[in-house]
Amino acid sequence: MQKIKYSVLFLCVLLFTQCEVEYKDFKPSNGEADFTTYVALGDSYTAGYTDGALGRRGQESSFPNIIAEQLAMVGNNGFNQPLVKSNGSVGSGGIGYYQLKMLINPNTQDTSITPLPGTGDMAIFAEKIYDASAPAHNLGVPGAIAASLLAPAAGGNPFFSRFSSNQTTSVLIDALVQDPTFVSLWIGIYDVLGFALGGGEIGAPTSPLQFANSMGTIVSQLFTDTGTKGVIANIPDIEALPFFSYILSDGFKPLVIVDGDAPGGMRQLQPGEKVLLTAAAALQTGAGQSLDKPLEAKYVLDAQELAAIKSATEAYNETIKSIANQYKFAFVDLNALMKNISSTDGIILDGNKYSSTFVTGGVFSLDGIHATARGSAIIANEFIRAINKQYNANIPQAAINSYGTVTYP
Amino acid sequence: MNKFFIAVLLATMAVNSYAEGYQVNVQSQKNTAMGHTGTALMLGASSVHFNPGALGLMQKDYDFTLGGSGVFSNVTFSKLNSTYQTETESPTGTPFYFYGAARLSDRFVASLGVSTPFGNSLAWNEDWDGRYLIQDISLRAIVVQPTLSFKINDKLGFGAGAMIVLGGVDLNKALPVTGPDGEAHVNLKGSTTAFGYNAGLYYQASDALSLGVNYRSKVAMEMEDGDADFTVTSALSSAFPSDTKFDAELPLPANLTFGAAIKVNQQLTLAADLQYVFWDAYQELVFDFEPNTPQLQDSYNPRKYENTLIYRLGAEYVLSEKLIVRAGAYYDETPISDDYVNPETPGMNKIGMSLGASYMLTNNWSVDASFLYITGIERDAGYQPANFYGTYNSRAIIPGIGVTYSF
Repeated sequence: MQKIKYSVLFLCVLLFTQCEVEYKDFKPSNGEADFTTYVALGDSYTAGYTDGALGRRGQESSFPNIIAEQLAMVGNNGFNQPLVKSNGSVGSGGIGYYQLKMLINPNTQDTSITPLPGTGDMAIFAEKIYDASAPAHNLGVPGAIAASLLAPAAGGNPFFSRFSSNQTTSVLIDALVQDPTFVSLWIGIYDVLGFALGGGEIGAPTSPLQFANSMGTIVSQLFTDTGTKGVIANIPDIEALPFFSYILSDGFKPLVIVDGDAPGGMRQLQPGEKVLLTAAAALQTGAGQSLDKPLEAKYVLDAQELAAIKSATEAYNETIKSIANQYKFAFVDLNALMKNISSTDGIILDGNKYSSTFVTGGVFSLDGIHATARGSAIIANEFIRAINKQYNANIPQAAINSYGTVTYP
Repeated sequence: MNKFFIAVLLATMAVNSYAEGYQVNVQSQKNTAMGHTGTALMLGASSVHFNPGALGLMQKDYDFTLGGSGVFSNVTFSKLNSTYQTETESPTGTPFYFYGAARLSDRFVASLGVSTPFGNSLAWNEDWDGRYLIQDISLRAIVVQPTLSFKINDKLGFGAGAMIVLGGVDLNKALPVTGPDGEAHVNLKGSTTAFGYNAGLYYQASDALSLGVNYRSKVAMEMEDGDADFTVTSALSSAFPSDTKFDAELPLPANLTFGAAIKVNQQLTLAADLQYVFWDAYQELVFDFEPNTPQLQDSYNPRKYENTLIYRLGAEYVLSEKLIVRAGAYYDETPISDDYVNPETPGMNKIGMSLGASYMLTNNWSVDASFLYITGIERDAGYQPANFYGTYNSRAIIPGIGVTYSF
């Protein structure tokens, strides 16, 4: 018995000393790049705009911030974001974050879940948060086109004046002052999006030549110092965004639409043409169902407008690719990523399937254009993969399941 | 010691994943101590499980043995291309066994076994990175096996038993739908009774050499009307109805084992088993939900297990009239290929090393103890259908104790 007692005691000791099981440790490495000072240039996506507005929640999960969290393991010295001071949010139209609400139809008692805009906090535009001792590394300016990065005050963009060093500076100047060792540049979608969001009724996509000039100026100034390295991303086809695909996602409908060029000023929608998410309210009140009430042109991208957007997008992406090649930057094919997400099969990552379905797809937020926090993490991982490949680095990927998607009521 | 036994028997019947797939290697302390060999051994009533044929040649009139083990197991996960690491917090498993054999006549021996040859109990952190695949699972299968053995002649015994399997599964996984109270999750719980058989031949080739062959059939655990309990925000309750039921089938694979044992001298016996496991019975796990909604579709999960071999070696040494010591080792191949390693059953090749002893308290009573240490061979793999990849490591420490009464 004595012996057995001792053996039991011995086994107990073993249990507590031998229970450590091994892990396979990740070995981070900066490779051929220096990530000490990382600066991000771009538009709403870079800024962390989500659910139709800019607020702290979206900024904290902006894709550059997620990249920077990973770069902290390969020598990054810290990444300052121009965080909104209030608890609120504000979008370019003055609204606050969209939220999913449960609505009850008073006639049928049917319930539906619909995104509704919140109240924007306009005071955010009046914030002056520039701090010379800790300037913002995230220089993403919501709504910026390529030329905005060169323009004084970003062309009068109130999102930039919040954190710009002075009232006449440009985004590029505020970037150069920091002497970055590494830069991410993802710009250009608003060069077509401004036109597309208005149903192609106002303005036109930036001419490819003008886009190429702006881009050439930006990169030649940022990368005169040969030590600075970077990552550049192309822009997705707008057709991959739920904002342009959701309304007809159940199938084509021969809606009656306004078209000044058509006999009688109206015609039927043609297959392939896009109805914008903003048309949802008008459609509910019967617009597009009859000749008496055709759907306004600002809610529709017709074949001509789509062709203009497509050719501009292709030209911009050629410019971006040739810059990547010329400067030997890491190149992120976000157009391909978004194409995969919006394909029938979607993409499967870490146990979940993602698609471009509005609300439920997981990648796109409630505005149908910008990313959810998890969408940002998926984008950040594409950047990291490209940087690792180009600079022989070993930056760990972000764990996307740690980031949220949309919240149901 | 009495208190210890009571604790073992009253503990929950969940068992841990300390063998490959979800088969368990602690069916008797004596056999466990010898690398879980036993097809060509006569170690008493545990032959009900290892080879009912051996009981046909049982020397004694009665043999009863019971015992249990404590399983302290741990699995770690290091995510591919990431600094993310985590480990399981699995509850302590407590597999148990009881075997009793009684001689009916010169040629017939009747016996009964109650044991837990299959099971899996694994708990990851609730909010871990793979939570959409699995949060925790408890799979249990208790086999009740009435058996009859027959002495064909003085050298050859045959035995066969019916396996009545009381099985159940209880698992949780997260759903990628967030409400005000956090992410949704589902609990799937079902149980079933299923049947199979266990038959074996035992041949005493000479005083020194014995041979055995044993076949345990596949058991199809078909769960019908299991409960699918969704915890989801009220706005989505119509998408995930509260009274959802599910059907699923989980096969317990057939095993064919060949064994040989040599009595080298009066003290030393050596044994070897070669066990072929028909894991290819497990090709998919389908949860057929009723009713379906646009958000709640049937869940089809390919498994694609492949047949495997387990190589076992064991030795027994009679130190004195009172004390027998044992040792053994085995190598257990994983049935899971590199693209189908799921954190629900994170398979890898495993090496088991064991020690043990029996101490005769009286002429009739003995205490049997074993200690089994299992280490998994690090595996870089993943589950392709969910695109979830990383590196798994595992280890289990399993002390066990039992008693035998024979005359």
